[in-house]
Amino acid sequence: MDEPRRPVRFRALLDALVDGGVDFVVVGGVAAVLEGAPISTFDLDIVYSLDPDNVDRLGRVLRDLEAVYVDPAGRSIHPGVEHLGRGGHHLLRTRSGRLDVLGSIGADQTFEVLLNRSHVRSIHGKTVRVLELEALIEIKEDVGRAKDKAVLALLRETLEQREVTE
Amino acid sequence: MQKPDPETESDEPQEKTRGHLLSVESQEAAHDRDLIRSSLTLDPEERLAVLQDFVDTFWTPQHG
Repeated sequence: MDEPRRPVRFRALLDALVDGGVDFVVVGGVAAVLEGAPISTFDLDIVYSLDPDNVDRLGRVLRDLEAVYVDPAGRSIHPGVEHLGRGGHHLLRTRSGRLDVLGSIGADQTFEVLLNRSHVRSIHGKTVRVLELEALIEIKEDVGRAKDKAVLALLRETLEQREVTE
Repeated sequence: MQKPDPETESDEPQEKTRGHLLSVESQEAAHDRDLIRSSLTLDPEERLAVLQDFVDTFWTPQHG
């Protein structure tokens, strides 16, 4: 049966991940916004640590969030720890909206690699790691998808303006 | 009456169109810069709240 679709609740998703002790870095559109770029997105993208304990914690959080894979056939397939442990891209619907859970992005940029290119931000009292704008730009340049190219100019301009104001 | 030869016609209309497009582009660039400057005055929580407002306004099941 097709799961009901709900608008994303960024704070609820971030709270669930942080409270569940998941090691992750926010990437994608939300990272760009937190870094100051005025862009829009309808989902939250994270890269998570593939450490087995972390994968277990992530699995528990995703169960609580009633996560299922985005499936054009409308099946309710739940992400299992075994699948999450293999990395890859897990595009999910949850009771707090769309959540993309990624083992890596770009050219094999895993959680461990991205850790060194992320800032710690405090969001409503929760500590969240966010990919820095420079890394976001580099990864989007490497990937070179049409939708990434469209937003690159805005990200570069944000970086330029930030350097002027800081 | 002889028809005007498109090859020898003035480039003026095309130049006007090009000028108009450049003007629109520069207006868009200025608008983007204003948006960025405004966003940079906010803290991360406020930026996330603005994004959430956008989602709440424009989300449709197609996004879901």
